[in-house]
Amino acid sequence: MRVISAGTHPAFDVFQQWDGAADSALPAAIGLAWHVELPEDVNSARAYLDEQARRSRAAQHALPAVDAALLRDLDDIRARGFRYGFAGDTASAAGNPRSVLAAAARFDMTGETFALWDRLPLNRQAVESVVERLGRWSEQVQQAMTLTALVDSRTAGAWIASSRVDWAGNVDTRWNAAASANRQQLHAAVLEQVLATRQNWLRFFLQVTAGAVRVGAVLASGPLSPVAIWAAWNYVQAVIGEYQTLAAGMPEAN
Amino acid sequence: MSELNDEPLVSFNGINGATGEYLTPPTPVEQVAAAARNLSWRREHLDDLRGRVFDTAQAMSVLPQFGDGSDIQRVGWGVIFPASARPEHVDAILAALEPLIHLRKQAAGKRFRIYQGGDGFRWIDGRPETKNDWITRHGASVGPVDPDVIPFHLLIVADPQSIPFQFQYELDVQHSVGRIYFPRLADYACYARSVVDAETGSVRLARRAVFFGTAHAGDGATQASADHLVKPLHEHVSRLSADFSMGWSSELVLPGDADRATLKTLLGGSQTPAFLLTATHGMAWPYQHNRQAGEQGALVCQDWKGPEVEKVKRSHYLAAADLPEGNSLAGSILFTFACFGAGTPYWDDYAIAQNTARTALAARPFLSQLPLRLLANPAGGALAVVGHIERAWTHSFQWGKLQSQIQAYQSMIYHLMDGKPIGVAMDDMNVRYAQIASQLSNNLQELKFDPQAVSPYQVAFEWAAANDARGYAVLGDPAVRAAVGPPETRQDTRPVLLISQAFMGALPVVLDQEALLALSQEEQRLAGQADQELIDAHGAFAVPQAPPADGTADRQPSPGNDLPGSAQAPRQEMRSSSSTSQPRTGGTPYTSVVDGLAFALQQYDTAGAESFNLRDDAREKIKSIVTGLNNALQNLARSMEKLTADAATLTVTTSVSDLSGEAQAGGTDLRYRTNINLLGDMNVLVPRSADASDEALLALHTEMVRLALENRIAFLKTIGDTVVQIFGAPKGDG
Repeated sequence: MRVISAGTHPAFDVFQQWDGAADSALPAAIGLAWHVELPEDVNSARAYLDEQARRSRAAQHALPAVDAALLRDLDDIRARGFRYGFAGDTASAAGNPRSVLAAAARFDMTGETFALWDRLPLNRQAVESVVERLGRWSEQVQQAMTLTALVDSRTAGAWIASSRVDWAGNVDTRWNAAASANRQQLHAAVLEQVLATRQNWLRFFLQVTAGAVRVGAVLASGPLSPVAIWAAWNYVQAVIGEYQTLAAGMPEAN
Repeated sequence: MSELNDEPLVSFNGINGATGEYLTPPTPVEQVAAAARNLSWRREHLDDLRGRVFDTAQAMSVLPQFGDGSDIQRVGWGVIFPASARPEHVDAILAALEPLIHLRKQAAGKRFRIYQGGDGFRWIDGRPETKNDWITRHGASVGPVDPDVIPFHLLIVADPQSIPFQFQYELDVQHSVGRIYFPRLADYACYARSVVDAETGSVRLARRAVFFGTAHAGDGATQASADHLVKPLHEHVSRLSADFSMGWSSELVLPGDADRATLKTLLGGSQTPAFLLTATHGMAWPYQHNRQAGEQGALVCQDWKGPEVEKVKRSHYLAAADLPEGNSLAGSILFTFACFGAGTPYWDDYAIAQNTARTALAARPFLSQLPLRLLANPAGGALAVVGHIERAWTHSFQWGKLQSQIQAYQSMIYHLMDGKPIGVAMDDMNVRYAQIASQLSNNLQELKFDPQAVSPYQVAFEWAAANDARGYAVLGDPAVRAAVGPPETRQDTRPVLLISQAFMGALPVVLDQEALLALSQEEQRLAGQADQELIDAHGAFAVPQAPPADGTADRQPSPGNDLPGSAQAPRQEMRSSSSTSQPRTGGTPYTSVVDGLAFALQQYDTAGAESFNLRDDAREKIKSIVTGLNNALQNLARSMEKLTADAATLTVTTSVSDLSGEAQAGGTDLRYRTNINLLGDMNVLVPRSADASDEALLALHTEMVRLALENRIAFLKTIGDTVVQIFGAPKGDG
């Protein structure tokens, strides 16, 4: 699955379900083009799309919980004076949301400390790269939400259908008259996946924005400071990662 | 000495591998600024600091008729003991120090003093006296030193619980101050003999300076110190010596060579120079950890590959126990830039947790073992070791975006090269502290009247920088100077030290009885345990009587923490000293996310953004992001408005085509169209004539309608949730 942005910067998917690309030849009215090349075998294609849908649903369920989790963790920091027990936690920010906050709390943008116990898994370059990423993400989400999306489904190179979805959700679909009904159904599943992804993108963007303000207000940095952005970006991903890990081991509720 | 098991000892991420806990609460900028406003700076100390900066009469630390402080005969020399130390301990220490005492007394003449007993440093009602209390008792006041009243050079002989680091900092503003406190009586004899040998011509060293700095991959702190402290200082010394024909050579140990084996050669080994400056990480251990007493401040060498590769192991750092035996550091002066390189205070200087509390770093403040061992080396000790109390920061040599702000270091090294005593050489480091602290004090004063006068980021920066600047301490006699020969000296002459075996036995870890009582019961117990360990290792001197149980641990109230074996570091709550202190709303100065967003936008339009200390292009990116976020939220609000307008309609169309690619007018046959308005009224347009294939197409169209509706609803829900989350939930009627 590929998501393509107009211009020179490739699009990217924070949930890593879509490969990113750029195409300067895209018409200006098209915000993002979503191209899906499915396996020729319909059952395999369906199974692939089902798996993508499951992952999207996990993110969709996790995202609304982020704000509450963040508020709870920040309240915990305020109340306990920051005495988290992190024994056994890894240094990976993606693995543990609270360790992200811990790292942000200890990071002093005004200077570097020579105390080894203050060593953190982030440095100025890491912070700045996340800030840059959020900048591009912000533009991409705005493209997704304000311009028209073009969704194109193919199987074994043969075109199935194309849909245009504008910012208000109006949908205009062209179907290949020669495509079988089974293949045409696959496009519906692809469109559903694109719409779910756009929703998740928007929620992720809003969670990171709100999160960066909240984190910055409570910890060392100030709202939307670089460290707060870094913390929010990684915190949201860590919460989703935790949820996806949990969800992978459990049957989905109907 | 055999290596300990090479196992990972400290994990990163700010996590201590021993306890799994963080030791320092967060330092929110707003809270730091607020806490700084509540700091009770002693008026006298502030006057000292401001005087050094603003009063030309106090610009010199000693009255001008006595010179610059280099001549002991003119400026005097004294020793300060704790007032409530046992007389037999003080007498024994003085006896062990006798060669040094005699030398200084001869030089200082009538300006020689020993402050012991009632003249020593006092604890009164469980509180240590201040510097000004002490000097006032002895007839002096704030201002330049009058050596006829109190000598200029002062050696504190006490542990930092008995005579606090705070006293040393404050005294050091005007005086030339050093400190020693060794665990064994024999160490005093070693040190005294080392100093006397150096100053009576037995030691002659080549004029050689070495600069040793690590730079671990992925570690910003040591990369900065290598590039902006160590290398520039080496170049400065080379240039200075050539320009002024001072006869010094300078060597730079590049990070790639700055390993533990090399450092050993420089600390008593074959390559020990007259002056050595090291810049490395210092090891740190949590409250009551069994490695803390022996290895706090140990120097992390280049053997450690960096945080992205591995955790620090025992073989990566050099501690007191690793020093080669039998080699001499006689005549040398060392400067170690490392966290806890000189010592560890009781309270964490940087722990202003949510403007409420601070936590203890150690069961009692202590001096680091590595410098003490260097000073008391049985084969010939260093004359002085300058190190850092508490953590060291890049504020020491960087200021905001300015790199290599090392003027104070340059001054210190110049004075040493010029033959000045280390206490005099350190004066510009003191002036730097005074400048930063005065600036901070002025800004805090302004903030009382105009909360917008100074950015909280600036306050937080200056606060950290002031703490950092204050933390440099001389361990050793402040009147010593590097024992170098004439410029043509090429070989070092370091005689074997001859020490009397008469001085045996251990001294208590806390010398002053009143100071010991100020600790909590558990900490007193730990001090007693440490005393016993020293006695077991070095033999008894005089075991202090266990103090009577007394619950008046006023300085470190720790209800519930006095359990045997408890590793819970005591916390002390901050009390606001001002009725106008900033009101707190659960620690969050913003009532909603949108308020925070507005504040952020304002910050990026003001000097506040400077404090992020980013590259200019990075800061511009963030500003554009913040603006972009603001625009995105406004777009969402407009979208919500449009979608919920009466005329809003959802339209779904289905066509068939033989052609793929972008929509083309030709070759596309529109089949179905559905319009749904806000109220749910649906309008479906179908072909006039339908065939069998249309049934399947209609099913697809219906599916598209379902997807479009669900998407519209989800979009509205997201916007609605956003409004609540970002703007705050609407309040009910009061």
